[in-house]
Amino acid sequence: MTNLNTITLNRMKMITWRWLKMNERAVEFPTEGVAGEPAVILPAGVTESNQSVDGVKCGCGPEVDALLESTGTRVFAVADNTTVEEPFKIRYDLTDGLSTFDKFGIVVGDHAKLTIIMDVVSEEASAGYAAFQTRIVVGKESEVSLVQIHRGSAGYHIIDDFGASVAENGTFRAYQIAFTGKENDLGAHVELVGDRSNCVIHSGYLTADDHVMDINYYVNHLGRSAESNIYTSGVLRDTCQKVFRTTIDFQPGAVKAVGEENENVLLMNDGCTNKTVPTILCGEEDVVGEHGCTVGRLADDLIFYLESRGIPNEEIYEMMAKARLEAIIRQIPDEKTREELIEFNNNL
Amino acid sequence: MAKEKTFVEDVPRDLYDFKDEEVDFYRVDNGLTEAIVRQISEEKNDPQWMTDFRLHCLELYNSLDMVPWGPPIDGLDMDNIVTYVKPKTGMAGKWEDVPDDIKNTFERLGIPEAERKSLAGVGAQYDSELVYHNVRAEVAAQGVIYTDLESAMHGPYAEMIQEHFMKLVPPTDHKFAALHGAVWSGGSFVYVPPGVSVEIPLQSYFRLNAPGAGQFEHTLIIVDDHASLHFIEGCSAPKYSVANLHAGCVEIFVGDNAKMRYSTIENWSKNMYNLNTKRVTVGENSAMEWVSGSFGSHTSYLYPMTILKGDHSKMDYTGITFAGEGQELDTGMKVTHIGKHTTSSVNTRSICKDGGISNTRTSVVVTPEADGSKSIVGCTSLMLDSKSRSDTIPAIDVRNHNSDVGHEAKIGKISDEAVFYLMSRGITEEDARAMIVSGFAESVSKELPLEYAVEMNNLIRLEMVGAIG
Repeated sequence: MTNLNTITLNRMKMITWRWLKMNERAVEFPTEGVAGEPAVILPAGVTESNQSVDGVKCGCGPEVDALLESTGTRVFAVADNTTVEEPFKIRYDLTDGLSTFDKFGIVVGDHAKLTIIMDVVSEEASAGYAAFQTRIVVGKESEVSLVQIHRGSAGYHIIDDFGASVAENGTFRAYQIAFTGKENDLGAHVELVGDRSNCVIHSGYLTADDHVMDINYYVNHLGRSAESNIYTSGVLRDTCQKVFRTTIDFQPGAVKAVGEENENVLLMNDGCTNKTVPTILCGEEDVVGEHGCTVGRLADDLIFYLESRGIPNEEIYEMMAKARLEAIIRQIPDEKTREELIEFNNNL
Repeated sequence: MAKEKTFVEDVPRDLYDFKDEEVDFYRVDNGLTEAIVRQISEEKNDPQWMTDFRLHCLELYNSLDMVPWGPPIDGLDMDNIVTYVKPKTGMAGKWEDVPDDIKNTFERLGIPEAERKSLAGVGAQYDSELVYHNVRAEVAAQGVIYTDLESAMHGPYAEMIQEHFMKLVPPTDHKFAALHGAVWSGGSFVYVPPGVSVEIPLQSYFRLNAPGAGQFEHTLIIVDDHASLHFIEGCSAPKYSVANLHAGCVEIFVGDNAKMRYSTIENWSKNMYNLNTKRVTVGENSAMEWVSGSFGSHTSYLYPMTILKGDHSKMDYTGITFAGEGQELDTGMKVTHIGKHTTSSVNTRSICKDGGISNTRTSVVVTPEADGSKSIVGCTSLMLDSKSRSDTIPAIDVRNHNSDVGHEAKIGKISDEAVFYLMSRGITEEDARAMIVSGFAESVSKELPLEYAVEMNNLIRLEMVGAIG
């Protein structure tokens, strides 16, 4: 019998009206889990390390930190001036009935390059819980890409939480693709510490049935001329519920910073709930912060065009749903993973 | 073009900042107790249902918590607020009958002049009570009721008031709605009968003169089917070193095929906590327009809410907020789409300077029934220095797949390119920046009647003094 405890996660930095029920999420989650045993493909240039990544904050918040406090962090490092050619792959095959807890830390030195691919899969009809935290330090002039894929069965509740600290001229890219699972809580916290540092988060999700997708992304602009972009594309169907919170926070002194967030959500039917709260916090005059979002149905002219080509309305929606996710998948910087996911998406 | 912008340090608010002596005014004790609520109810000769309602609201006030999400209101101590201050005069139907000192106040604010030139009726509230109410004879002849709420409660519209009072904004809504229900005083009742179009606006002006006082006026507007109305609300107060509180409430019921426009120029003094609640429900094929300018107050919580209940109903919201030194203005709007093919369009602008904090908070909710609805929200914020803050918190909740919701937000400073362009045309940098700010606010001022657009531009000009240079 799994002991469940209520924890609150994904709380917005600046909360809003309570009746909207968007400020945070309370979940029932096991108090203990077993250490994950992922299949790890460690490419040349990545080594185990005893460096600390404790200073890197993650996005789901302090109660998830506390949940995973006793879980050991496996830390890996990439030395200065090292380009890691092959992706660093971490694959979790979740075990039915278990609660898997794991934490990773990756410290990438200056002038280095690394791609990390984290894939969470499970047997069909299996069920359980999993909670992961990944903390990444991006050195000066370095480039780090983190790809996180969730294609577990519909029986899982997964918390996947990452954080990154990006130094001067550093680039951090995250690709978070989540196909349906019972409950998905995703968090991200990126600190653009260095001048001219930048981050891009591409996020794509498909949520269906009565499943829940709850996302909290936070980007903190500290350095000068830093840039952040968050692109999200999602598809909702059946009676699912989704909450998407993003915050771009321009701190005083973050001059010439640019932050942009963009979300596009396609609702396939009535009955699903789509909540979005894209926040821009601004304590610096000399910045540009922009947000845009479109929610709902497809544009009339697009439907008219495709219908005039003989495609039925329902098929148009199905086609566009796949296209939205594919647009995010195509951004993944590893060809093999890209092709595998496109096929997975097409077969859904 | 206001040339003094670059050189003058302080904002001269003489126009609004004069104070009157309080002679022989009736005041209840500071704080909020059952005895005070009963005293107000007795003073106002409430019907029994209203006394009971007030006491129920007091219980709710004591049981509800402070909202955790807005700007701090620690400086507001209800034990130091006097909830009812009555000037030593009744309500007059002619300006000549209003006591000289109070009349002079409204003369200086330009209210009687505005009434003569461009209004169909005026209500003027001083502290807790209306001191003047009048409506043009030809408007009254159309059956339009524009009167104070208290006397309407005892007249032929008593049932209508009981049916509608605090039904749109129930006292359970939030702590200050409960407070309002307990101690409300003053405000207007407007009823526009079916098929009647009030061609020129009605205006209520609220002046809070008493230091340490609260103003809790209630405005109830019912626009029946096929009718239309433009209502203007203005407010101001002199500045004191103690906190003042404004927790008014506006409830508007718009029937079918009707049209309502509600314009506000809010210019409370900068010791004011403005915790105001406004809400409208809109019937089939009807239109609601909000035009809102927020300039004053120390702290504001102000989010007019629209419930698009009828099919094909629509709402337009245009608002500007200007936060200067010591101000935190949390403003925005809420809209809920319930009817089919409903439309909402929102354009908010905010400017902050000298450490002012402007938060734009919005919500768009599309319910499952609101098939074919459309909403577009635009929030643009301009920061004039890095001592200030500008935050945008837009919430969207969509539950109908055949709807179309868009949101855009932009925060930034005055564009260097735009300044450069204007300077290349021979305009000085200071004038170029001032011109850009004025242009930024134009989308709101052009929605106001000329006199009020002039007042708003004047306020922006005053606020801009010392902001650039």
